[in-house]
Amino acid sequence: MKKTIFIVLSVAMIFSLTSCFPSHELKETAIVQAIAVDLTDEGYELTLQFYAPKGSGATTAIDTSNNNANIVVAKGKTITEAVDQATAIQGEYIFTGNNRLLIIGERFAKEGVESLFSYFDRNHLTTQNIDVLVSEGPAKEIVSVNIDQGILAAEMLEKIVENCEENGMILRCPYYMFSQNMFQYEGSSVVPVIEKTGGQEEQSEDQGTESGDSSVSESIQSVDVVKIEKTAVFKDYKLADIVDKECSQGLAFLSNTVKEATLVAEDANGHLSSINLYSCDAKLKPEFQDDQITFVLQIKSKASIDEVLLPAGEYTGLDELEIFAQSAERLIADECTRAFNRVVKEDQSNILYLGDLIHKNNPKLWTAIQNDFPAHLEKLHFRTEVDVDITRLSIEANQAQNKNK
Amino acid sequence: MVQYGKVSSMQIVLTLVVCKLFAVITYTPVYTEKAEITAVFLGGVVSTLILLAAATPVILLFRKTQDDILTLSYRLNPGFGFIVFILLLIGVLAAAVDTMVDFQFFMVNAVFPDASRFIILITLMIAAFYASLMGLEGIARTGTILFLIVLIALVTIAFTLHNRINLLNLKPVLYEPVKSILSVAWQDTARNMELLIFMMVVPNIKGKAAKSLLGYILLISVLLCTISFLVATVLGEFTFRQIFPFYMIASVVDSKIIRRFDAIHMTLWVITAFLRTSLFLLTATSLLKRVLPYHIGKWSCLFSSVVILVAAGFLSGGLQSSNLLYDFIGKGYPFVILIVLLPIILLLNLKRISPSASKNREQQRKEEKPE
Repeated sequence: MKKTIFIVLSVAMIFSLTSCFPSHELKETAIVQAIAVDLTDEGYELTLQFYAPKGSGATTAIDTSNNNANIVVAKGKTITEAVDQATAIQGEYIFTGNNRLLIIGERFAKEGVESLFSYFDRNHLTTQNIDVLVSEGPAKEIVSVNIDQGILAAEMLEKIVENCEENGMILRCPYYMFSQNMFQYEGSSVVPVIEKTGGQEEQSEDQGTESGDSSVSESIQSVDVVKIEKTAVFKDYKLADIVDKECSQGLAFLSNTVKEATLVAEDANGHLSSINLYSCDAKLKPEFQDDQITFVLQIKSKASIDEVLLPAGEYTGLDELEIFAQSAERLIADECTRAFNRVVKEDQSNILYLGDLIHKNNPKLWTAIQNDFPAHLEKLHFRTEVDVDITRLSIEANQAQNKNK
Repeated sequence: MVQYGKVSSMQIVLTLVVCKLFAVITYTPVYTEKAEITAVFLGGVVSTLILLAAATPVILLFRKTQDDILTLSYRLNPGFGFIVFILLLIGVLAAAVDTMVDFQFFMVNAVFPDASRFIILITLMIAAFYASLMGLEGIARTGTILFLIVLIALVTIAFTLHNRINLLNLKPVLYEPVKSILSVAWQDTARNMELLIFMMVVPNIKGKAAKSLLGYILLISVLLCTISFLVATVLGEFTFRQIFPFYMIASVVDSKIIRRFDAIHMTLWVITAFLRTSLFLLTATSLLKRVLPYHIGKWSCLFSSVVILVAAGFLSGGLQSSNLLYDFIGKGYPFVILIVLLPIILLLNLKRISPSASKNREQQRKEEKPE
């Protein structure tokens, strides 16, 4: 009897507890892949790119030749209101737990992004390691751009960010780090900038005007729709500056995030060489002399020679390698110095854990300056000690050795 | 817990470690007194020493006797025993209610914001009720298996976080270092309510209870220090903005294989909450069975479950009420009275209350004399 009651109760429990938590059918869910936040005169404008398989009639649900994404644009006085409006427009449950990108519009960034954290930090669906980007112009344009590569546009954008970081071109900024830096360092942070190149649009215009010429109409489409090479500098939660490609790479060196990078070095005769840094270790250390604080960047890097542009009949010798290495050292030092001077001294953005380094190495001094540390940023000094060691010659090694013999 | 059979000391230690981990991973510095993050980490280290010092009377007591704390208290004086029974029951029920309130707080804030808190509380209580019906042996076996799962999850999270660790976050403590470190250390120590279970479960341990306790303290200290280190070095001062710091560090892991590590964290939370509630419920049941007549005592488990569920339902209604028990336990009143003072009183009266301990000592002396 007891067993029967137990079994009946267990079965009843299975059915009675199934609807206790709200659930959403997959077909009724809009899986957001990228979010763009812009500021307009009426409030926030949210552009959501969501997964929309376009395999109609095919054997598979996804058509890999198409961009399987749609967008929805919604406005609201707060981000939450805009999300609610997007749900009303879209008609499906909006699920942001699988989001890949958060793109901030230039106007929003310039007017201050504090309100962003209030929504995304609190939202239980926020994925903490998604990439944050700042767009030049409205963020909506980036999320709406049609990328005919891969299954999803947002996935391709994410890959572009990943590749740029792997090649030491930018300093990547996951959401949690953006929020953490802003909170800990008086609203200072650096975020990669994404901008439209218009490559695909120009090409489609060309095709439209010269539709009679079959050779042009059959040309392969360009994929350079967007590019990421600049960096946005935040101070007091506001976009203070956008620095160029060289400064962006300098920031990557300063932050010790460069895993691999290619530099074009030059010898005294103007011969060019591609040097690939395959290992790089950077350390930023403060030195104290009276009231003067000097940050010393020590970089130790190992490199290989990928390409040398020499006139016919000339070979690369060990002396030339040393010259190319010195040229690479100067390039890195210049990029880092430019980045430090521009971002830290000119823009006075408290990045690179400078305050933490002073706190750790000289707590007394830190106690004295911590309250107005941003004002001390312009007084900081900077020095570099770069060492590039070319250890791999590829298959041209024999030529170098032959010349020495 | 005289109603249950014997279990190995390793099973008890590992089960208690899983229970204690619930308190570690639900640690919320945002509600505690403002301290620097290095103080939070060092506080975790210092709490090991405080816990060792505070648990010394318990260790000394159980080196000499294998009776549980309630039996010893009744032997000292029935009136004293009854007071101890009431205090233990309140302590154990408070710990169970606190676990359930914390669990639902996490679930409705971080996982299911639209869910009813009652559904979460009821489902957890049904599971805990069933587990406590299975007895100490069943819970201890489950605890051992769950320990392995928890350990694998923790090691995975720790390894995948290696590139997020920033040692610069551990900076010298500038403001009142001793006071802030000790304050954090005391809060960590005061949340060791698992020692109450240990003092009740002593007769069921196969092997030496004192050694098991020492093992438990050392194991939990290693885990506590590791988790504190990860939180402090990954989040830095940002920790103070997080309601669930450990959940946050699981969320920032960037792995190609698992995109959302916070799901693993949720599993840990459910596992530890379930085991902790079950074990405290079992202890409450055992306490009631010892005092109440059989025909009433057989309903102890159901009665305790209802009391815990009602109290948890009531306290989880508002933000202030849900913090009541957390603050009460954090201040250390139950810890000082039941885990520090009570064993000292019993230790001082050991000759009167534990004849076996005296006999053993006399026998030892006799054996030593001929030599």
